[in-house]
Amino acid sequence: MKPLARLAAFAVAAIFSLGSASADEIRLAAQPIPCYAPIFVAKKKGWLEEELAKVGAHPTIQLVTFAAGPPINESFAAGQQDFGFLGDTPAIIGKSVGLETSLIGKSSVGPKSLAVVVATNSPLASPADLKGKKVAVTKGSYAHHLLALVLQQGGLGFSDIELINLPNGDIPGALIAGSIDAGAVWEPIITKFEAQKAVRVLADGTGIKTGVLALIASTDFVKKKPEQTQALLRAYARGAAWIKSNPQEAAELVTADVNLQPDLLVKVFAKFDYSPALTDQDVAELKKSAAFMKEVGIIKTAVDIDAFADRGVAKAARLD
Amino acid sequence: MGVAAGLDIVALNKSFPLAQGSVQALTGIDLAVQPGSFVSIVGTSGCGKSTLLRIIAGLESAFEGGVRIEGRPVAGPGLDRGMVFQEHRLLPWLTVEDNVAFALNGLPAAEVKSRVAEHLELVGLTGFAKALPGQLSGGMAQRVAIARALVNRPRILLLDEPFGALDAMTRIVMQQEILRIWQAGRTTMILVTHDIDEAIYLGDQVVVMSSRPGTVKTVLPVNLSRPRDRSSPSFIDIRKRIHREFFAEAEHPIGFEI
Amino acid sequence: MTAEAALAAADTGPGLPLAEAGGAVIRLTPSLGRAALYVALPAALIVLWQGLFELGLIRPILLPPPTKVAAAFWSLTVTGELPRHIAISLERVLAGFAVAATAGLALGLAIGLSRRVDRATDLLIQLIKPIPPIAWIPLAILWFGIGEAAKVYIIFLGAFFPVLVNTIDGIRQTDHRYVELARLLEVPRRRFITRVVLPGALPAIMTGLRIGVMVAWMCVVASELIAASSGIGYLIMDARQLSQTDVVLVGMITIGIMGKLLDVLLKAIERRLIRWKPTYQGH
Repeated sequence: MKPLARLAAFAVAAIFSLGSASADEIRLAAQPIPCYAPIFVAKKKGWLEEELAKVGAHPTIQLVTFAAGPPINESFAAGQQDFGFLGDTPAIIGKSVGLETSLIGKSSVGPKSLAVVVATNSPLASPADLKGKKVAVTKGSYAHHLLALVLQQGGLGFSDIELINLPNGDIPGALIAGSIDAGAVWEPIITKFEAQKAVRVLADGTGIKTGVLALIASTDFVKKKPEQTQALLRAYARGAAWIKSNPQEAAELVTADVNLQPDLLVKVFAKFDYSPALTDQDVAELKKSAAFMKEVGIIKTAVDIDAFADRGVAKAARLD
Repeated sequence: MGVAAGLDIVALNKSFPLAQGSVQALTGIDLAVQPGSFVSIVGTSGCGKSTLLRIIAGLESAFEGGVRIEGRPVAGPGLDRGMVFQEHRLLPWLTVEDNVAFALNGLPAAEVKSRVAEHLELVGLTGFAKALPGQLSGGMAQRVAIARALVNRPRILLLDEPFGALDAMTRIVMQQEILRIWQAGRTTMILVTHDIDEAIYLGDQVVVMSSRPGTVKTVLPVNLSRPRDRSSPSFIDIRKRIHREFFAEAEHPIGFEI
Repeated sequence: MTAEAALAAADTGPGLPLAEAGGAVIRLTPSLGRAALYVALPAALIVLWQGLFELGLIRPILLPPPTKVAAAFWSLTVTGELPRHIAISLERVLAGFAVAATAGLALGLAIGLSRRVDRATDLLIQLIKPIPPIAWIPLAILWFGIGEAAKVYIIFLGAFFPVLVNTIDGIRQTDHRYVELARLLEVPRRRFITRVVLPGALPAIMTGLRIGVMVAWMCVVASELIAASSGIGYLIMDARQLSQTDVVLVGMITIGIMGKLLDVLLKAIERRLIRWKPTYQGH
């Protein structure tokens, strides 16, 4: 082939085969927040390599952090990830637009880990007070669903408020500056700014949303390497168990990974259940989320949670 | 027209600084121009004739020697001297009449209007008052430039190779035009050209300049009545004499017959 | 009759011969030919795009096919959503551009006409100019909050420098032969500026304004990263968060089309203002 033609062929092939894993690599995508602490624990403790070695695999493990769920979806779309730790909402969105992913477990669940907060000195006291106010949330996040449910509690809908789309991290600043009246956020924002006496919780997920966060895997990977998938789940479970039994040590270990100082991190740990196997209650919650998203138009195609979830992996790993 | 003025140049020297050293453009120029007369200055490129004209116009300072108009030394540009360049320098976004009016500042509107009309008529372009320069031919545009140069009634009109950019036929028409205009108003005219015939056709005297350094070689009076016949023996004689200043004479042409 | 003779006989009028049918030559008229050339490239691209999708060579999640994008275009237009977003973004762009044009022209004139002002302002301008509008967002939010002012400010920043730089250039390029002429004619300074400098600088100034509008429009996406709830930039970012790539493409294409329309408008204005200038159009 002439050199120019060869170069062109290479370029085309490279573009279309974007991001297939080399044989000895596992690629993980997570957000650096306490919701996903076990994976950082497992990585630091070397449990990922241990569990994989037990099934005879020795891949290099690549953990990349992302600022939010949607970029993780984009990375999956480009074929660049094997496992993802992200909110239920972006996980369901990804599935609905055709990503070939399976929900093999949950990253965490914790009704107190997501909440509608207001500035400490705000006059707002109950959900009904949100009428006509400026409320910020990251559209398409699981806090978006929480906001809908909180509004419902106050007999309101989205048309009764002025919805402002802001990234999670920008909401406290906007609350303090007074540019917004309330915001729907998730940890570590709640604990961090409560400690600074800057915000207080108006209503959290207690009784209305358990806040299931997803653990997804590329369907292709699960099919081709089922033992490695189980190994990963087991490593995650070990991380989860250790956080439960040694919260102080765990907090000190991953404080830098999840961007929260150890004394506050210990408090946040208490709000989460990190065991990765999906329970029936988890699946029911996810179905509610999916229905909400279809209803408000966040997704155009409905997602069948039973088909999305693959509880077989956890079963095979003896985690349920 | 303004009352024509006389010009006296005595021992004029002008040099230009270079990156290293300087170049002497003019050396020891002496020139006397009678009021109302028409003087042609002829020379090759680089003889400094344009520099001489620019000094008279007041565009070049930093020279040595005396340049006086009616006894008063020249110090910068002034409305007593008008200038026409080789390129017409009409502002492309103004109409013909606005271009001429551009030269008139501080006059009441009625005065401006009448002067513009008067001078457009002088150059024969009354019908083109609203035209844009882009729509004019080279000769017409140069005529507008002449009108503009005269509208302030200058006492001396300086012309720096004014017809150099025009074709040969237009050039001859324009030479007749400038003659007519001069005869109508008798402003002192100083014309710089490289066209020897033009110099003889127009001037009361022809100042022949040599180059490197630029100096006045000779001044030839032209005492022929106007309009001049370019093929008359006297005309040809003067042409021969000027030619000799520039080119070695071809003596007796040798012809062979086989 | 031979084929050549038939062709010759049917040979009437201008235009490229397109086909021969029974001795008559069908010709593509010049204007039709020009129109075809104009749209040929984008049309070919769309066909290629759809083709690659049909062949299964592109995964729809990475690049939805033109049919899907067209459907999204349609549904967003009939619900009035797209026109509403366009109108809001346009409002912001025009506001930002108006301020940028005024400030750019005024400062450009001051700098172009005065060496002193130029020297005093040059360093500051050269330091600020390379900072992209996006980098200003945090400061914009702190100074102006998350309302309209912050968004218009970002757009203003984008449009300001092209207008400024081109205005200065236009003034600097004033033909020195006209400057000399004005000296000879003792033209007062104000008249010199209004009759010589400004008209001569107008082509460059118009170029600056056209570039300014383009950049202002391109900044609309950046500016709507500031807590917008409407506008084309918002539409794109929102669609991104919901992994709706087709809507993202609708937003991008809309930006392109609107940009083209703005340019056409400005070119028309330029032609009217600068009627005296013959320009090279290519041959």
